[in-house]
Amino acid sequence: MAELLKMCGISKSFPGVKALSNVSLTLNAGEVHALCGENGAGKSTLMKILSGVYQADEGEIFINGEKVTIENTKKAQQLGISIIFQEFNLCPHLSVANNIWLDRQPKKGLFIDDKKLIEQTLAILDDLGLSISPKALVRTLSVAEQQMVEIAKAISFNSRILVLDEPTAALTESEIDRLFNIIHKLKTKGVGMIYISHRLEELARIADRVSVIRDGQYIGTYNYKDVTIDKLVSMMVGRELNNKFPSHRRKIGRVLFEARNIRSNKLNVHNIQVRSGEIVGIAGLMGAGRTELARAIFGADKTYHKEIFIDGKPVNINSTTSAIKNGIGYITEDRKKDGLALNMTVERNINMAYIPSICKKGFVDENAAKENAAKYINNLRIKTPSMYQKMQNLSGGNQQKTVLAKWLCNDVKVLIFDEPTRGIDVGAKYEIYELMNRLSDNGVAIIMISSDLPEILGMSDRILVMHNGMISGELNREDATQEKILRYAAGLSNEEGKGA
Amino acid sequence: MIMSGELVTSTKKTRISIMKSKDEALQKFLAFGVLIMLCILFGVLTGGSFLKIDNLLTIALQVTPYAILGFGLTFVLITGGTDLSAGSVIGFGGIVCAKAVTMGVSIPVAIIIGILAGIIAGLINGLFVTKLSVTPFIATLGTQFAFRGLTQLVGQGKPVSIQALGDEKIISVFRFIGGGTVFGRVPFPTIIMIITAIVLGIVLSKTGFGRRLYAVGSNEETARLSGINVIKTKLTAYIICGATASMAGILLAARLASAQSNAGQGYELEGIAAAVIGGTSVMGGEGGILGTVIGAFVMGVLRNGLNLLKVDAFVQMVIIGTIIVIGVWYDTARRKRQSI
Repeated sequence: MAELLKMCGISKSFPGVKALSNVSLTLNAGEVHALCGENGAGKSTLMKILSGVYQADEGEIFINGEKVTIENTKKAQQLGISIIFQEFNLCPHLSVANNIWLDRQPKKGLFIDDKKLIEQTLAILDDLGLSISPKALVRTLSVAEQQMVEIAKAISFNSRILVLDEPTAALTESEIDRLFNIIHKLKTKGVGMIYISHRLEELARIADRVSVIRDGQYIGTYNYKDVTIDKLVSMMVGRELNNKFPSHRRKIGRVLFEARNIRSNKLNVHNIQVRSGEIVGIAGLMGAGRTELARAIFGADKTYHKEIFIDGKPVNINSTTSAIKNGIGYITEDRKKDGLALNMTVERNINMAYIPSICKKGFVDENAAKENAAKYINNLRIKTPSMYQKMQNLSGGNQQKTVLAKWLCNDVKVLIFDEPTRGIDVGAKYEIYELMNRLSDNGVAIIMISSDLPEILGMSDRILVMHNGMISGELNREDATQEKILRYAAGLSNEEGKGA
Repeated sequence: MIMSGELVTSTKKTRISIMKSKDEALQKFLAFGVLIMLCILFGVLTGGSFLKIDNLLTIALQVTPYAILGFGLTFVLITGGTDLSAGSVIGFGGIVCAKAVTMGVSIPVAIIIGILAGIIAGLINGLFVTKLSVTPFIATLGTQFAFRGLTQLVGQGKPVSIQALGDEKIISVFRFIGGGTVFGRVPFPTIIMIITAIVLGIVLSKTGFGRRLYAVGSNEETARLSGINVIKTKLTAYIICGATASMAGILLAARLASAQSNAGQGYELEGIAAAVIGGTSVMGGEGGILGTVIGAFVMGVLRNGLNLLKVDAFVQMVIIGTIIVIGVWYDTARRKRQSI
């Protein structure tokens, strides 16, 4: 196979940190090359150097054997390099066609030649086997479809080198299948892809080779079939991680939380019980109503009807304030969107749900606030130079721990985790799981929503599966398999799936 | 009871540095530095007459209504909102107070009625923004017209004159409130401004409400999911803004012993400019009272200094406008740098 790209001995320093030190990477035509490393290992920096956002301090880049300098993103585009980031760069109010050919639309005199524009777009979409209308506005598309549009846009630039940064983070299983089909198509066309993902399980389906970097150091490149996930993980974190999920011996007690007859325009849930010390996983496809259920329990969304019982006593939860008063906490799916105030300090974020307790007659007791923040920074090992650091400067794992701290200080009895480890690296994931186990040891009832099936299977004592706003199945830890969960999630009964 | 708090061990070992954000201090220092530099510049250019105590006290008096209004606007801006009706509320509060006096209500009660008028105006703005989810810009643009109309209605299109009452005692009390001096030469309204600044500064930085306000402005949904009553917090901010606007209106009416029905027109923009120059973000989540005081003085010093230098009034507008834009540009650039 022809070598498309070669990055040799790349080093890059920022004031105070050496982000990359002598890292090398090669990419062949028609190859998927996975790039693995923990958050902060230097993957993004390396990709930003490739795309011309940063300049390397040392090292050389060759494309098709020719030495190049990539001084800006425009140059990268000319060289046929496209990056698809987690956050898309699309204009939501423009059509698919206009997004793909943004600023390059075919012209007829002063005006855009709409007919030709649609033709060109259809050609690319058909080529990729996509059934998206070129005239559809991007904001009406699903996340997966928007991603396809991004890929189509990259193809329209005749890109030969495509970087996919966490492309599956927000996709459902069937959408992931579609994405992988397209990746296979691109491989046959000779496009080389660098693929970044925290979901190591999925690499087996597409990756040809894998490179690992850790703390800015190049660890190695391997043929994918020669390595195991455990080996990869230990290379990424630099130590042996025998178990991805910490072992646990649960002391499951009385029923601490019960919800009955939750009905809204998206939900129809008859009964959920969670015992003290128990972790109940909620699985299901995107749009099955899992987050809606969490928000309904927490009083964040209105419902037609709901009955909530804490410790057997009925409680009235009509606002988030009353939920917190009754000992319920909710760790949201997207911490940046609604879990944290990113431009506020760590201290203010930890204390955000704790304001009533640090106030005396309306005035904040700054010492109490400081003490509380320090206590949880220490206890959860939140890595921050100071409690007055702005939240946005912390890594994903430390941000997630801060969200957790917000609920721990309120002595929660019931804690809902919505996608607790999305977008955080292996090491930090393990820590979050350990914290969940510690909480369960202390008798907290935990509801854990997750799209990550190994996580659901590894952490839950009991699994509820949702489909179309309803609980479509319930499985004990011992009987649960990925297949059974997926059948329930698709709305199928598990009768014929027995024995599978 | 189940204690998730048991997770936590001793806190004594904690060694978390408690360095306050350097950047915040720098921002205040910069605005203050600009103010001092302007004073020195005008002092030199005017051959010292700018720096005479009398002139500085005049500036303080001139700045007072903008600053007081700016304090209220700071609260609203921190929530990520805005109040374009504040100028109209100045007129409304002033004329309601004056009307009450002419109808024979005692002075303290009339002042309370005037401030109440502002509070009700703020409540209406707040209800539009929170309960009816109208964008603050549009909601308060509408009420800007409505409150100005109400002001005209109360005065029937004419000023409401306290002077016309002919009661020397009442007139002199109002004159004192609006422009009298204490401790020798310090204008009384400026004293009111300083007290208001201290009270509202404490509310913003030391109370639970202040914390909630910043949280709501930084990320409303996060705040709501942290159990903060977002509606109540925002309503309070608009009410405070209405109250400060009517206070400014009463001071203006008192100075002339007459409430003009067009009083306060355009003041809301001056107030917003003062807050923004002082480091309050129009995107919400950031800002403070001290900054707004400095911002108001930057505007006042510029206006006064340029007047003393006999700069054409139209040229003055160009200069002040340019400075506002540069100030905001600098602030945006600083934020961008920070978020990298």
